[in-house]
Amino acid sequence: MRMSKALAAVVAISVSLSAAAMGVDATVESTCSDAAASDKRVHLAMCLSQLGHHRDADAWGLAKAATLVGVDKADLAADDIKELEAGASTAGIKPALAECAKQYRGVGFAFASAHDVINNRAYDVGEKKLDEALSLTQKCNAAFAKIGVPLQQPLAQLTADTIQIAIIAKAITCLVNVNNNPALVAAAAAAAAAKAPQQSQYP
Amino acid sequence: MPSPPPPPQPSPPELPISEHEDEIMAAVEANPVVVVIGETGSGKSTQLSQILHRRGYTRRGAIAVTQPRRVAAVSVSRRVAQELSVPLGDEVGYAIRFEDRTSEKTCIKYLTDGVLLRESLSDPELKQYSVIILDEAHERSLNTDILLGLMKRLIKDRASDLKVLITSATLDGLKVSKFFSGCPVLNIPGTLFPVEKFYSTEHPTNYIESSLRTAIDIHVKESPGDVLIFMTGKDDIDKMVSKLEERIQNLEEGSCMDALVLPLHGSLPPEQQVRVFAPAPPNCRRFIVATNVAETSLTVDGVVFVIDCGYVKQRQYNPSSGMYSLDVVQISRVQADQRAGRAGRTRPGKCYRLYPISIYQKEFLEATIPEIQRSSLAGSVLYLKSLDLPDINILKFDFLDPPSRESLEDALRQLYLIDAIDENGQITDVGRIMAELPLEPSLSRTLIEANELGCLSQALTVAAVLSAEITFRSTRSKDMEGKRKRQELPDGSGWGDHIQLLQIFESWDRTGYDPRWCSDHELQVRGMKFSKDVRNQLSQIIQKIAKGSTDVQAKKERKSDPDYRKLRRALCVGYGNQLAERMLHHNGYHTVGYRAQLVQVHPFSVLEGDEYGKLPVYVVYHELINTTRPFMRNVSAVDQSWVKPILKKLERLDMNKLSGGSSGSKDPEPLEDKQVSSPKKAMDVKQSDVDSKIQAARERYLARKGKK
Repeated sequence: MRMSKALAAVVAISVSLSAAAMGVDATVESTCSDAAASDKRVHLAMCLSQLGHHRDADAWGLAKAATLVGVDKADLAADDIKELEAGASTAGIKPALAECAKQYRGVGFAFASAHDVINNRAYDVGEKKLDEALSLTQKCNAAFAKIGVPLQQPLAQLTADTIQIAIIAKAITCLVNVNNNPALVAAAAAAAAAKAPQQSQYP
Repeated sequence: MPSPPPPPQPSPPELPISEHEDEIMAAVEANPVVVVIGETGSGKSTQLSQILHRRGYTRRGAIAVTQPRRVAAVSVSRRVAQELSVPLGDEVGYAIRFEDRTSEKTCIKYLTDGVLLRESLSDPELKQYSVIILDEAHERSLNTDILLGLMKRLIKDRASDLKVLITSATLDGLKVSKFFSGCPVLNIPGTLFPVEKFYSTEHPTNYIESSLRTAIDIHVKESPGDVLIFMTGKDDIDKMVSKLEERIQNLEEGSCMDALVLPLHGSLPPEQQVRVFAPAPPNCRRFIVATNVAETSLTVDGVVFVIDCGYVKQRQYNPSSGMYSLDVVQISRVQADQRAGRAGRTRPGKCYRLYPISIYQKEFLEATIPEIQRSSLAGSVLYLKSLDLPDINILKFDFLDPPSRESLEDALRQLYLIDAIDENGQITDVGRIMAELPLEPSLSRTLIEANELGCLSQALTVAAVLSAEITFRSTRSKDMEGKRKRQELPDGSGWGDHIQLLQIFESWDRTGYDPRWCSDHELQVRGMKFSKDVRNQLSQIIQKIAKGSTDVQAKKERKSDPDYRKLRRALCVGYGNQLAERMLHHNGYHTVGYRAQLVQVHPFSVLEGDEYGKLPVYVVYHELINTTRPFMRNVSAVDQSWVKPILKKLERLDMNKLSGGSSGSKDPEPLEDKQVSSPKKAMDVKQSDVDSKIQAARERYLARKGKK
């Protein structure tokens, strides 16, 4: 049996994770840690495994790298959907697969657009594009949920990974945005200060 | 006195047009065509479709709303979907060339005017629509003007079940009404606040500097409110953004509020324009530096101050030379008033006009020249001919403002040279296929020829990349970093830019379409993905419509055709109306055709000369544009033997026959015969000389290739 592209990607992730455990660049580690601290949805392990080999990249570079991972995953998902459509034995799931195919096309473009605008240092636009990528990916889940059928493997794993990489990319982009935008730094400081009195109310 | 702004409401918002819903519906019910004149911001683009939907007009078909610009079709549809609380692509969607966000559910469809024209090819009566709204008609886009003529016909055929609305911010409603046999015109007043206008005492010599000074003055002295600064193009916008940011940073800290400087132009991908529509951060003034796209197509909230330089960059086509130019011209009074109005949407505003009032009153045209009178009409004429309308005569088509006869004849000449029409002006089988491809005529013809020659796969790639308009400027700049990047990209093997585009795509293909390859080579990832998507779409289309077998799969054909001869030959046929011949003693060229023009190869081209630096004798070009000089862009070398048949067609060309008349009997003919014979004799002598030089050049070139 031929290994599907998505499954091959999963294997690659496992290998990459093992490699990551052997040595991750400090910048990558700190950026991923900061991202996880800023957004609890971020899976630190996946962030390290997907971005750990970008040893020379700063946070801006890591944000872009994450978007490119998203492009890859969306393309893989689209390919796998085609295979599933060809082999689908139940007519009922074909509309859901068609819907997923459509959404993943948009997901790929959203990640690609995010890369380009982040490269142009338009970080807030990049954040919006990553939100779009996340939203479109979740629609794939919704399409299957609507018909009461669980997402098939390996598409299910790929969808979960795509959602996660969108979250990671956005979290890192937010970090870059804050660090490069004095107004946002001030706003973040003000928000932190506003939280301080509440925290002091507890012993 | 304008009414006070309404309190915030759940969608749909209470825009001026909503207050006239009953009046509009009464007019629509009673008339097949209605003209709606509403100021920019009155809500006609977003609310009219919703009103009609709410009143049941989507029960019998969808509502189509055309826009002259892609960015508007996308942004307005998003807005309407948001107001209706539906996902984009469900009940509300958009369709633009090579991108379709609609579904079976879609009942309000925003699309570019070009897409609607294309839809009419397969369904001349556009039966899927119960209502067609031609929005932003004041922009007088070429396609919208053609649609006006077609709607006039369509209303007669579908009088009982189609409604047509023409909306505009500034259009002469009476003129359109007369065009449609006296249809009603509804004027929807806006809620613009008064705008105080300030004029310069004289036209500035450097409008960027003048705009910059004015912007800083506003920032330091005026109350909160965003500033909209009109520039002519992207380059000036980039300069202005950079200078303004620098100047603001140099202001004394605390002397004024924070600032955010944002560019806005048509070249920006839609996603990058989102920033402009996001509300400004607290205590922050936005400076939106924009082209005329901000005049009417895109509404930016929060603008209180406008700086109007008085100029606009306009794309003009000269049918005599076949050359486009990007001319910076004075705006019209209508445009000036539109720009000023942007300052009064939310509260009283100010408009700083960087020109004297006398210029406004005496020199500005009343309205902008329609696009149909300054564009190449080849694609449009081909489209009209493909409709097979029984009584249609291109020279007599019912236009709101007809193009010149010279423009129409130029279009006929172009189409004849690339086999889309025969010598009698009738559309050919080739022409019919061309019309079905969503491409420029030259690219359509190239694909058809490539299919015959067996290099369709390569041609599809070239057509897709050109259509996706991927920019390689960063790799072609003269700075050292750019040169380094350029060296890493394929160079077209000296044959030219079309070949380079092919090679770049093929290089990416060999990586399995790895987006990192694009990033590493400073290529826009989205643009490259888009070109791949376009290629897929074109492949599907041509497989359906082309005769014979088609081979669309990307293959490595280099080994069997190392000099890309098949592809270049197909390009020669496809660009038979865009040929140039090199001068004998230097690398300047003259165009081959009706009236020769002296032109040069664009400095960004990768076209190479022989060992003596002489460029190829014959080239085809994708675009001829006059910037600092008349330049050919996207140029590739072709063989003289391929050019010969085209030259012969040029000799046989009879404009009278092409136009639908007969030849031979009119007085001007003898004079024309004499004119034709003289160039022919000269051409014969020249041809002999050229032949020998071509042979010598070929030998030198082959020797040079052998050395490599």
